[in-house]
Amino acid sequence: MIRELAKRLQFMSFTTVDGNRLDAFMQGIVERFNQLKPRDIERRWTQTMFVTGYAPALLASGQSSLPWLNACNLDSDSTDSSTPGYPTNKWRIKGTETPGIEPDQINGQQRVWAWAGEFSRPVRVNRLTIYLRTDGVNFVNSFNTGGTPPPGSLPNESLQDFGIELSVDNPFSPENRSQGSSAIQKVRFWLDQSKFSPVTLPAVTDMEPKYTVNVLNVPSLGRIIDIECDEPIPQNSRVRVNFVMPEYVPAVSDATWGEDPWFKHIYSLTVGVLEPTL
Amino acid sequence: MSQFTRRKLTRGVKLLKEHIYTPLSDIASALSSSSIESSSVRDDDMTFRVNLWFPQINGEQMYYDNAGWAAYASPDGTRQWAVPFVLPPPQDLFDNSGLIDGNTPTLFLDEVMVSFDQRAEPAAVVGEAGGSIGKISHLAATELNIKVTILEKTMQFFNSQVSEYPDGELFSGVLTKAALTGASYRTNPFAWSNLNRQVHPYKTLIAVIDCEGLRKGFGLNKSYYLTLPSFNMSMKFRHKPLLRDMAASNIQNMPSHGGEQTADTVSITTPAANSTIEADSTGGVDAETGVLDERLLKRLWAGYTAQGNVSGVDHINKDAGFEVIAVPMWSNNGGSGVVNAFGIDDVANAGVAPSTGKPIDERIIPLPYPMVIHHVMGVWNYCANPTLTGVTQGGRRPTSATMHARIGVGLIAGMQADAWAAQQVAYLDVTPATLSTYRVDQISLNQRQELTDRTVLDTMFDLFAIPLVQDGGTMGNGYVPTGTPMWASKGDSNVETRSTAGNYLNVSGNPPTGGAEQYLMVRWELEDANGLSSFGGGAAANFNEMYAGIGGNWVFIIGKKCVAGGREPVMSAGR
Repeated sequence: MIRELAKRLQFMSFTTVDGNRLDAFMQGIVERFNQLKPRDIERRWTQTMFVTGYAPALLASGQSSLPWLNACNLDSDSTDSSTPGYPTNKWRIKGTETPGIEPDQINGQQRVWAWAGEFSRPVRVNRLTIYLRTDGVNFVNSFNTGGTPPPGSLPNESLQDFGIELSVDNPFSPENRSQGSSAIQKVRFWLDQSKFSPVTLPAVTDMEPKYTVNVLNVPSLGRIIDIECDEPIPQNSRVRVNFVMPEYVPAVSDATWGEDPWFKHIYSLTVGVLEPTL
Repeated sequence: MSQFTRRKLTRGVKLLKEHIYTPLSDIASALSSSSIESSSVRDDDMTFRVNLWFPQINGEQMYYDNAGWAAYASPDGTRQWAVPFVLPPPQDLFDNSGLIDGNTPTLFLDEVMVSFDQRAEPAAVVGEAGGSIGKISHLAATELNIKVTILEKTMQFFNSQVSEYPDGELFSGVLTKAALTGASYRTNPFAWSNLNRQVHPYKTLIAVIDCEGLRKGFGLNKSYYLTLPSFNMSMKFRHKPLLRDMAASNIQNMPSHGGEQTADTVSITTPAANSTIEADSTGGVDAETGVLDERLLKRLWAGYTAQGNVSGVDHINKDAGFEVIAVPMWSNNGGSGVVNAFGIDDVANAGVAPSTGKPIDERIIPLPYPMVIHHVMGVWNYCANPTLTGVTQGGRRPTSATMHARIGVGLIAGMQADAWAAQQVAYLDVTPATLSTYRVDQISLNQRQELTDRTVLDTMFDLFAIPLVQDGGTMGNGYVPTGTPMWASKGDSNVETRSTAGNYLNVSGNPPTGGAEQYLMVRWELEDANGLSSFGGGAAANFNEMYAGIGGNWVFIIGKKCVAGGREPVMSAGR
C-alpha cells in the first residue's frame, strides 16, 4: 500500500494496468518529489536569538530602574491629574504574585523586564534564559531572605520570589492582559537551584579579556535561570516575555534584593525562537 | 527547473522501463546521495533575524538641554538612535573586493518588527530623572510618533572614496501616535511583513529610530521627557539555502563527524526487459514506488541535532543559512546613557579618577542549536548629547594613545557544573590609533559636521572587524586577516572529539571546552593605564571622548546555522 505518494492510484495484482493510469501515477510521484512539502522535511525551522542585557552603572551615577518597570499600574503611577478609564490593566502579568509584596496596598512592588514580539508565521519559543551576574564587589546579591523574611520564609534562606512568564495576547482582546494566555510560568522556585555553579569556580584563563579581580572572573556567585521549552505560538500572535523581580519594603519584608534591586546584577536575558523556513 | 523529469507515457507507445523505473531510480539516487535540491522543497528559504534591543530609547539622554528644554522646542531633525551593521557572506562565499557572483547569497528583507514596554496602557512612560521616572503619562503619549528606517551605504572598505553618509533607504515605517494610544488595540508589538526588499550583501545597513516626541516640551502636554523602555527592533531576512560547513573547510572546534552528510541507502529494482509488468512483487510498480513512499513517510532529513550531531542520514543537499546574533554592550549606563571620559568613574571597576581600572561589560547567550561562526563585527558608538553635563561639543573618538578596547567572544562550558572552561572565538585589542586597521566603515547621519571636529550632536560610528582566532597559522577569509570559522554547539558524548582551534594568541590546541560548550560569552573591556577619565590626571584629552555613546556599542556574531527542530535525539539509523 502506498500511503503518501499516490493515495488514489494503487497497483496490485489482478488490477488493471493501462497507459493513462500509469502516466497519472508517475506524474504524481515525480511532481511530489519536485515539490516536497514542509511536512516532508524533519527539520524545517531556523533558530533565532533575541539577546538583551546591560550592566548598570554604580548607584551614585543616578542609574534609573529602567527597563525594570512596575508590574502593577496604580493611580499613583500616573503623572496625569485624571485619566478616564485608567488603569486599563491594573495587573499586567499573571500568576507571579509573591508573599510579602502587595503592590495595590503600597507594600512593595514587582519590577518587570518586558519583551514583546509579533510573529506573522507560527513559531516555537524554545529558550528563555536570564543570567543575573553578581561579583561580590560592585554587584552584590546572595539571593537570600533577610532578618525579616517574607511570609512563609525563614531568615537567611534561599529566595523563591523571581518569576518568568510567557503569555500570548488574546486575538480578540489584545490589550486586555487578563484575557491573555499564560503559556509558560516559572514561579516560586528556589533561586539556590539556579546557581551558575554549586562550587566556587576557579578563574578561567582561556578567555580574553579577563576580569583582573579574580572574584569577578568566575560566575559562581550569580544565578542563571535557563528554561528549555518548546512552546508553539500560532501565526499572527503577539508574544510577551516577562521577567519579574521583587522590590520589598524593608520594614515589612527584606531580602538581599535590597531597595533598588536593579542595581544588583549585570544582566543577560535571551529569548530563543524557532521560525519556519519560508 | 524541476530536479526530476520523466518520459511521458503517451497513447500507443510501448511501455519501457524508462517510463517507470528511470524516474524512480533518479529519485532513489538523489535520496541516496544527499542531493535532493532545496529548490525541490516548497518554502525552502532560510530565515535569520538581526535583533536590536535597547534597554531604553530615552528622550532626556538625547534631548536634554542645560539651557532649558524650551531652547530645543523646535526640532532640528538630526537626533536619532542608530545601529550600523553588515551581513557579509560566510567565509567560503566572501569576496574581499566586494564582487557579487552567482554564488553570492541573495538576501531579502522580509519583515521589520518593533516593540517596547508601555506598561500595558495606552500611554507613554516618563524617562526624566527624578520621582516620576517610569511613571505613565497618557497625555504625553499623544506626541509619540516612532519612525524606524533602514538605510544603506557603500562601505568604505570596498571604496575608500565614499563618504560616511548613507546613500539609500531600504525601508521606512512609522508607528503613529494614534496607533500607540488605542484603548482596545495598539501596534505594539507590530511587524511590517512581506517586505521583499533585496539587500546588498556588501553594503552597510543602518537601523535608525527617530522619535522627536520623546522631547520635553515638543508639542502639547509634554511636561516630561519620555522613554521607550525595552525597545526591540527585529529585522527578518530570507535567502536560499547554502551548503553547510564541512571539515574540509578547516573549521575549528569541528566535531569528528566533520559535518559530512551521510548517504541513505535507497535502491530500486528494475525488472528485466520484456518481463511481465508486476504490481506488488519485487520489481513491481507499486512495490518499488513503495520504497520511495516509505522514505517520505519517515520524512527527509537535514541539519544537525541540538547537540551538534549529524542525522543518521541526510537527504537535502543545502540545509544551512545565515545566523546573526546582535549583542548590546555598554548600553544604558547611568543617567546619560553613555560611557565617556567624564563619568567613567561611575562604571564598575573603572575606579576613581583617573580611572585606571579595567571595566568589562559581559553578555552570555545560550546555544540551543549548532552554528559555525564566520565573522565577528564590532560597532563603536560615539553618539552623545552635546548639552549633557560634561559633553559640550558632541561625542567623539577617544584620542589617548594608551587607551585600549579589548573585545572577546568565547565559547563557555560549565554552567551548573563544578568546572568551567572557555574557548576563544574572536579577540581584538585595539587603541584608537590602531582601530583604523580593522575598520571597515565610518557612519554618520548628520551631514552638517565632519568626523574630526564636530560642534553639535552627530551620530557617528566605527564599524570594524574582530578577527577570529587562528588555528596556528591557518588563515580564513574576511575583511581583515582572520581565522577559519569556529563550530559552536552544546555537544554530547558523540561529538566531544573536536578538531583543534586557536587560542587568543592564535596557538593551536585542543579546545579547552572539550566539546561541551553551552554558551557564547561576549566581553568588551576598556582600559587606559594612564586613566580613562579626563579628570585626576587621566589620559583622556577631554570629556567628550566616548567609550560608548547613546544606544551603546554592539558586537555582531555572524555565521551559518542549519535547519533545526525535529525529533531529538536521533533514533537508530536516523529515524
